[in-house]
Amino acid sequence: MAKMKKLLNLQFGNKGYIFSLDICIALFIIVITLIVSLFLISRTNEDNLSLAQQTKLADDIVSVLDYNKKFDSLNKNTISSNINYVLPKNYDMRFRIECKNKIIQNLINNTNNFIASSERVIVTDNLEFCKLRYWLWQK
Amino acid sequence: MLKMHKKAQIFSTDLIISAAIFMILISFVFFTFSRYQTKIDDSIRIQDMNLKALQITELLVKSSGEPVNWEENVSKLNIAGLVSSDRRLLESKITEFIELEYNTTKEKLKIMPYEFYFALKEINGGVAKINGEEAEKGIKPNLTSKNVLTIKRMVLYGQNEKIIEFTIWE
Repeated sequence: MAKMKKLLNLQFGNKGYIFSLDICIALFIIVITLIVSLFLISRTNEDNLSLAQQTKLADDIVSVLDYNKKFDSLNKNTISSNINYVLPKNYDMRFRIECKNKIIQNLINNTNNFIASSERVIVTDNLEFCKLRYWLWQK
Repeated sequence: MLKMHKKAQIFSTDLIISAAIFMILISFVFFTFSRYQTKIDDSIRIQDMNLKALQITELLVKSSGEPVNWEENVSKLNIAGLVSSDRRLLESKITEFIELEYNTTKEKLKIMPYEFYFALKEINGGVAKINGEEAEKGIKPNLTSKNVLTIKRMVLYGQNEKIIEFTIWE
């Protein structure tokens, strides 16, 4: 049988098919890699913008409220209502203010979404130094 | 002689089949690549627009501009900034900025080759008014606009919180 194959050169034929299969597999891998990488590139763009926007929003809200002395009351409800007035409806924000003898915080459960978080030192009208921590996320 | 003839036939069939498979796959790769080429170009452009929009809004809400009192002599304007200090809008700067010619603004803010729309908005979403005029400038994107990116920044105008909305599009 082997002699017959050799005579008809079928072994050479098999090699050819194996070579074609190699190309198929290689090209299939290339195409898949190409599609996946393009998909990831386009997704990264969308993510970058929304994450940058969220980080800027958190920073803007806290800065603007601080400049307007909206944290000076050190009252949880007043501060929460000031934040909710400027916070876009599709976002939630949690804060914790640590002063020398007092801690004020609103306890909102956060989600598994990206959370923009930072710290800022605020000085009240009574020259009380407090550390403000905040977390902002999309609902 | 017969043996040689058979050998050549098998070799040819094998070659034709493998070449056909190869050609089909190569065509598929080129087709996929050309299809995604547009997406790659779009992606690069969106990234560029994204970066420009973020940098421009950062500049507008955090810098007084160059020179600092550019609003007194607009012809000397190098870089536009709208605030007296961090996120505190100055009325004279924003008034002059809105009155600047569209293409001059594009050139000074290095927005080319894109178009832009700028608006100062109230927290409820309406366009704010300065001296009775709606505080907006530029060209609004329309239904045929391709890529549209909007950045919103919160600022103080007097004691009131306002939103600067900057849209870059093509």
